[in-house]
Amino acid sequence: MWDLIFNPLVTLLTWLYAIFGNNIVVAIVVLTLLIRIVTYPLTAQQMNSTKRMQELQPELKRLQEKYKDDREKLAQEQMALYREAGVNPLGGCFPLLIQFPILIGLYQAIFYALASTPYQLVDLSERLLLPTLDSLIPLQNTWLGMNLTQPPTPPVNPTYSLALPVLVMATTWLQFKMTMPKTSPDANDQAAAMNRSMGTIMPVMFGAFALSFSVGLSIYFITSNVIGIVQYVPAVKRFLDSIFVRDAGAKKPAPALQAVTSSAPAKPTPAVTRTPAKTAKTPASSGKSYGGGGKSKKKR
Amino acid sequence: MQKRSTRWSFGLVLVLLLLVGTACAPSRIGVSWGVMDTVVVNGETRVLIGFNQHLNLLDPENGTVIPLLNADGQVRLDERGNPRRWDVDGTQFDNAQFFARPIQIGDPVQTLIVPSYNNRLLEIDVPTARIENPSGIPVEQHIFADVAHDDARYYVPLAIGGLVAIDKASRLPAWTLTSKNGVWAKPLLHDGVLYVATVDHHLHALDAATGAPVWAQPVSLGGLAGAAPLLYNDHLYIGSYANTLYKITLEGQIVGEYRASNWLWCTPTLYDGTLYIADLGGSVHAVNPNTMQAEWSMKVAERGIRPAPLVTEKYVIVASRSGMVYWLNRRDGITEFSREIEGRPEVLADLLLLEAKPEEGLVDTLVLVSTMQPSHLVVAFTLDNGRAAWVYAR
Repeated sequence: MWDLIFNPLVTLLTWLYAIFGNNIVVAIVVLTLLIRIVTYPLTAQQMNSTKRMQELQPELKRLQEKYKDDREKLAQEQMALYREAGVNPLGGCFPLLIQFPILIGLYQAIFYALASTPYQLVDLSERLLLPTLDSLIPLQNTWLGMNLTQPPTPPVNPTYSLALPVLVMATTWLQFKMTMPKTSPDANDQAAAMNRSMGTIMPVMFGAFALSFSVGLSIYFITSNVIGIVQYVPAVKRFLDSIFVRDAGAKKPAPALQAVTSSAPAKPTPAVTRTPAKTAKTPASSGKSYGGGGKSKKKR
Repeated sequence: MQKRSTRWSFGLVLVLLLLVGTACAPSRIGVSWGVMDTVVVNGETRVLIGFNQHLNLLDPENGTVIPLLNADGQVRLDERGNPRRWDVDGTQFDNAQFFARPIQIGDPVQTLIVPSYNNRLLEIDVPTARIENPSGIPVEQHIFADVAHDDARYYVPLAIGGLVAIDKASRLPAWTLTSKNGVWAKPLLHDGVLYVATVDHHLHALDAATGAPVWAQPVSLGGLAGAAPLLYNDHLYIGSYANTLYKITLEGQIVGEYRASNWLWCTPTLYDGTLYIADLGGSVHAVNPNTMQAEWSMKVAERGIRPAPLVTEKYVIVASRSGMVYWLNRRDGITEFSREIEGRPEVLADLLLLEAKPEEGLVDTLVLVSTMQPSHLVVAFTLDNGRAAWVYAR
């Protein structure tokens, strides 16, 4: 089943390799860029959803304290809060779930296309969907003196290729910093603690991947991270939102929710917590004010 | 409370990252496939199987690893009283791996010169299964392909960079062929000329003594050439990733082509004046070497066929990546019968035909198939009816 994703991407990568003068690095960069652009609406939706969930945290915390002895009531109240705010608690996961196979596919496509052993090349025979690409095999896999099919560690690659894992770590960290919403410094906040842990572990882990995987995959990591960083530069994000995201202009939170987000965490906010479900249909409390997505979007 | 929350979040992050790591990890597929050959030891035919870190000699009668014998012909025992087996363990020699056919030295065979993936030619004493020179004859690169040799030199194909000729006496490089990629096919030595197919789409003809080019230009094959050429009637026949089987004169002129339906990665098999070749699309072709026209062409397997066809008077036998072995009628290519290997492991290594030798206890002629799966590393079928005779699991 994975081959349905891998094989078109291997073919596309090989085709781009031919288009860009048999330069595999340019082909990797262009393909990564294309994929990131195509999946941008999903990325944006996921980030908006995460952001909205973050904004609801104070109110959720208040509910948890209030109903700490009644789990059933707590669940009901939480659902009511989500409904009124027009937030789907899983809204951040669905776009990610769709993107995940595509990104893995891209990653694996690079691995397959850079085949460097007899077994890998035999395997490639079932992956190229355009027969005209046969004559390009094997792809030229050296760049700046580095063998892209080998790990960056000497002696298989020059010492300077060790800069790549460092770049992978740096760009992973930077991307994480830019894309994760600001969290409260409150140490009890589980989400904040998790974000802090991820912010530390992820760059180290991807740096370790880059050390043991091939140089070609490090180039993919770096390109993907850099594109991710650029996507979140406010001017670029606004531009991309205007092209790819419906209702990109409607960013400002609704008054009711503004009240929630600006209130002290423990302070009750009757406007939100006690509003009956039907209130969600009024323009002021609908999800429209959150910049699109979820339930409210459909209502329009 | 705070500690528990942090522990939980840390654990969740770890699980998430492990999931991502697992999904993103490149598929750990192997380097190459195994290799089989026959070796006569103490007057008896044995099956040699090399794959990854082990090299073994098997008893063709039942597929077990043969025991080592002492000078008196008694089975040698280890310190626990168990019989010692003919097993060369590459993990004990700087992670040596075996994907190429050893060269047999002596009659009877006393020594195997074994190309190892870890950049060396190892020398193995056959009676004791001992590596005589653990550091080996060093070469600059990995070795995937079989090594050619004559009285003076070994001609070692390198995974990257070309080929090196090593002087047998001095054990030093005599000359090298530099290639953009590498050489993954056994060089063909004929009348002092070495024909070398390269991964970078060319066939070279070199003076075996000096390495000097014999042809003004190497012949372009339009695609990767992964298998050795076949010499027949003063012509070379070689397939490539351009889906084409070429007929080339010894002067380096392409004089005939046959278009297959997919990439070709095997040396054609010659039998009774016909060439048989299989492609990675799962088709088998019988080609007239004079006209380069198909006598028949048959789509046989759902996945590719890498090994060269094994041809007998009655059958053309092929094995595919889908773990199937097919017996085709040699006259028309129609599948007479097929056998499925348990678990459908990939078959990429060349098949081996083992003639019946009743005097050695081998009653049936066997077709040996080597898969990529240790539980079915070698599967033996009888030639006549495809009955599974034995399985060797490592």
